[in-house]
Amino acid sequence: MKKRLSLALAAVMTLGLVLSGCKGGGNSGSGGENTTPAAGGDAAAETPASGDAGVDTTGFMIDVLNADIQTADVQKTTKDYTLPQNIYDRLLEIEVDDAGTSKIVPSLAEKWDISGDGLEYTFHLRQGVKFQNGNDFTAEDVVYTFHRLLTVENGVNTELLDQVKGAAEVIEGSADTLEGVEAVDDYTVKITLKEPFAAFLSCLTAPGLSIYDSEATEAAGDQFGMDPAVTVGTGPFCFAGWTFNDQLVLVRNENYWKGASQLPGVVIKIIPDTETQSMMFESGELDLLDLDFVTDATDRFLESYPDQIVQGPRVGITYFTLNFNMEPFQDVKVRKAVQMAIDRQAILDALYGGRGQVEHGIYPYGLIGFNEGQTKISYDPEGAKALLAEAGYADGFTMELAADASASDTVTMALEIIKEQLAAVGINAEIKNYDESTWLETRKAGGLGSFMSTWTADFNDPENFIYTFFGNEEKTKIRSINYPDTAVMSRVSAARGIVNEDERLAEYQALEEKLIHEDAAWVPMYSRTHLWAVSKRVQNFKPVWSGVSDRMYYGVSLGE
Amino acid sequence: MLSRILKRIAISIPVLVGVVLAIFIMLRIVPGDPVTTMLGEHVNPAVIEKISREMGLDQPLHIQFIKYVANALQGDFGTSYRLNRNVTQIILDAFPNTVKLSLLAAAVAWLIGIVAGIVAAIQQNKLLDRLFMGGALMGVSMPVFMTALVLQYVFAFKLKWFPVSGFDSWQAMVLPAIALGWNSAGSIARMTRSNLVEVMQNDFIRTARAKGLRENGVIVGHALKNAMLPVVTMMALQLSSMLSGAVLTESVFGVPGIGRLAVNGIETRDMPLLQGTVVFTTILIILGNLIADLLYNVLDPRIREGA
Amino acid sequence: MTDEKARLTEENAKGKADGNAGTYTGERETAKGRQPQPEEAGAQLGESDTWTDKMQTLMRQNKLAVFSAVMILLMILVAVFAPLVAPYDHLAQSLPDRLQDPSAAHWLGTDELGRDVLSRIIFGARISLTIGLLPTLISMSIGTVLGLCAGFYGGKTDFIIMRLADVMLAFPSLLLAMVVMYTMGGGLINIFIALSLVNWAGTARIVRSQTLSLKEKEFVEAARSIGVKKWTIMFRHILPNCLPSLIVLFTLNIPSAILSEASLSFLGIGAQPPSASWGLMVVRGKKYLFSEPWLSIAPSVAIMIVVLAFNFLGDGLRDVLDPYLKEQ
Repeated sequence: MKKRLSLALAAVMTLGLVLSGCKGGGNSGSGGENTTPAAGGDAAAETPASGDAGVDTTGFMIDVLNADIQTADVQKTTKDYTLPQNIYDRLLEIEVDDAGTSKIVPSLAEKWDISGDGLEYTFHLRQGVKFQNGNDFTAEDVVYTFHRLLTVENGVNTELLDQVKGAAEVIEGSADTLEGVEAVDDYTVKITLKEPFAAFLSCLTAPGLSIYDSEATEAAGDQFGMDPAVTVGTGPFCFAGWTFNDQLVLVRNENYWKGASQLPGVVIKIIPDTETQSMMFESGELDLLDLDFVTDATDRFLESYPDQIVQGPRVGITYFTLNFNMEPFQDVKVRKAVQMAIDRQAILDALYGGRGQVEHGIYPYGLIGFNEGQTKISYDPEGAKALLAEAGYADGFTMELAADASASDTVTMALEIIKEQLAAVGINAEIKNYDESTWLETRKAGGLGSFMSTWTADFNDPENFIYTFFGNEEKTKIRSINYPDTAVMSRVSAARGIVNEDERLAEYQALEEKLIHEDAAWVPMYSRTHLWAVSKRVQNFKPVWSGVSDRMYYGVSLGE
Repeated sequence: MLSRILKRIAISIPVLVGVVLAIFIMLRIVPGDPVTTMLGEHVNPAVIEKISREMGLDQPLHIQFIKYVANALQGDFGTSYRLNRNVTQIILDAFPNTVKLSLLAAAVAWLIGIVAGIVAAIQQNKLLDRLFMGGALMGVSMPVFMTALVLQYVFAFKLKWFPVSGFDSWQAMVLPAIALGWNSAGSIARMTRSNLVEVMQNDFIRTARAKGLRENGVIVGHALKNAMLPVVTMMALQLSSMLSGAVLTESVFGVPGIGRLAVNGIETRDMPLLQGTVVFTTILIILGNLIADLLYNVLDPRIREGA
Repeated sequence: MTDEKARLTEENAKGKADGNAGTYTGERETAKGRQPQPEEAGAQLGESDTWTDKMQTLMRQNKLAVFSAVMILLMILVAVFAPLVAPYDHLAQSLPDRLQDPSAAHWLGTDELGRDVLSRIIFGARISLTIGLLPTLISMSIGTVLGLCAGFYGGKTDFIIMRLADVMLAFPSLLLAMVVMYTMGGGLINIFIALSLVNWAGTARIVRSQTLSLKEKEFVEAARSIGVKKWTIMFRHILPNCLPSLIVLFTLNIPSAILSEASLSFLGIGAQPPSASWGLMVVRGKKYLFSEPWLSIAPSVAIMIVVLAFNFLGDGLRDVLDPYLKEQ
């Protein structure tokens, strides 16, 4: 029974693969029999795993993830970006130069015009691009993809198109077509916004707005993103195999419009245990290891493999909240005291070996709008005590540190350190442990005590940060911040529509100053550097820009 | 005999229903809205409501339960929240790996357990007894994941005899099997020892000895045979602890088995997946015990006659 | 002595140490057909002087068990007097001194937040021993009462209780504990509850089978005939005779609870910081396995010593106490 099932599955997938034209990964003559795991030393495979459809993975790069993905359909996930980044393309991409500044570059859209009022965006699409199944990429696919994003069952990225005219009606079901997205001709798409939204171009680079093939995706139904054979995009790699909890296989798209990748393919192993990952890398079973997975071993990796470390900024800010609805955080002096009482550099040093930088605002290093010259918050426990005394809390007070049980140990450790540091100025911070769902629900209801978390950019714009936390009463409540100044929040909201870029950024920076340095609305902690260990044979691996700074395999090659 | 078997089977059924009911209820009293937890932060409330409705979560509990059982009877454990895939299919894909791991581990457990048990019984209360029992018990006295890590470190990482992870070749299977098997060896050793010690007090052993058989011959030829019956049936009991241990071993070695699914279910708060995995595993154990009991009935002449 | 009795005995002793308590399923039905013979079961009953005898036998025969008992006692003393014994405050952080190698100042080095590992292990003994003792005590009390009722009343009571026990026993204990923790969330109190809920059924089964044989005994019959109340008979007359088995079982159940906690911590649903159970220390320390191995090895060894000690003590006690092995 079992065997028959997996055979059938393999057959279906092989069939799909032939249709897709993504076959073989460049190694001709790879039938179904000769599956050899590229990892595992002399280990010889006895049976091909059902999900791999007999792809010969010899010569593939081996990467690792610590948990399996849930889907490759990026409209249904807010975190599994590894595959979407490599299987699909977006209308626009972000490119980071060596100096670390990022800019928006054409991808599936070659060029674009924006109307004077900032409402109409006209995209001229690249011609001659084919999906991995051989279908042509046209304006119709863009229209389809964006409509699907709003209507697909279990879709979780609807927010990305909130500003598009008619999006709300489509979500509610009162409109069938998305008014704001229109195919002018085969290679022109016009997008109309309901109000000016300066960050819209950045938004289009978000992995969530990857472009799908209307025909194949519709035919695949809910198998899209689940069954490798029917999950196609225009990207440099084809989704070739998925054995749950074991591995994901990508093979290169020979017809990629930018030219086929030098890598024949990539195997992504799924290994939950961090020590196992370390040992695999050190035994040569891995080509790529995201050192995030083994944070605590980073120092050792830096020491042992100094020439094999690749790094880039991770555009995300770690912050520590103070709930305005809780005693005594209504008092700005108390909030400022907490800002001064936490030694952020010490935490960054202890937990991350100092790899990263202490932040002082809302927009982290690497983000458009990051303000080098902003006011700094300094560690000053004596000053904190004085402020507390002024506020009438000379003897301190008791507060809650809300720990999410599903958070990483490093976050928990940070809370333990913060607890000690607050104790030093007389604040009795008690760690309260929540399970994940209670934590989320309490936070959503606005009732969570202080917590530490990290917001990474969905797209490169300050809007994605400030609006998320201080955009309006609802936004600040569901983060359990409950910032009360509605005038400031209206400004945050209005800033989204400022068409002039300089004016817009100036306003965002003024708001940051007001929120963090005048009102002490949260404690900015730090942003971190993202490090990777690569094997000796990996060449040209660069962490891509993106909040999650996920992997982009295109451009990488393997030497000997 | 037949009626005994039928009765035995009949009694398993309410247990099965009880197991499903218990799991079902335990998972429904989880605080928090499962859909919110599942979809994360980027979704608007209308979507959440819609999905709740689609998953039938708005219906009364007893209706949900009846539906679940009815579907489960047809081999359908529902659809995973996270994977949007049939839970039965996910489980069946992972099942062969867990079976392989458990069988290999059982072999290891028996090897260590029986050897240690025999030596300990012969050398009862002497140094070798303590040493071998201690050795067998070592496996259970460390958390399984540590045993696994240490084995992995020494034999895969340092000595490079085996790959560090994976489960796609016999080399890769050795370490997980030892880690898991050693964990169960202690109880087998203990049981072998005490059974042997007892059996050797029996008259027929005394007779055998009196006939001048050498001590080793006595043990291997007579005592062991008699002491093994309960040990054989202990296999089924071990199944349960094996499957518990597999949860940890599979995580360390990256084996794509059923234990991992349970962990996935917890980590991603995927209730149907967790539910399906636990129910499936428990059914396995109930079946295993049923078979062991029946086997015991068939094998043991006294019971056969007595019944 | 036939081997089905041996099997029952093994059932008593079995597996509780394997981290997967509550797996007595095999005995489910067959136990009914093979009750221990009353005269054997009762062989040593009611002879109060035997307790001292047995302990003397234990001391003579099994030095290892005695040594284990001393170790356990020592551990308990250390746990109780932790603040006096520990060289440092187990919660005091010192970030500049993090991850130090073992030295004269810190015998077992310092952990990732610069806390003294030895002190944490000493304080951790409190939590880990409590996790070993308390849930075991609770679950065995539940199991004993239910087992007594089932055995003594028989009929429907028996049927219902034993089917409930069957259900509990059918679960792989770790998975069941995982489900309970999933529902209730992590944390020490929830671990107590999870482990207490998971492990009662094995005890219930054993107490029931002993009760069944004991209630036929003359002294019970006698008590009954002079109108002693049922509960009095159960708790005054039958329970004391179950004690030897219960003591053995208790000793062998403790290590499994300690190990279960470690496993749950490994899965991220166990004890939560800053409380430092040994299991949690192993799990957090194992991230530094390659650079600072003592962080995980030290608490692992602590767990190992306790688990082995309880196992050896349990084995020794069973040899002298257990009614079914006594006969030889």
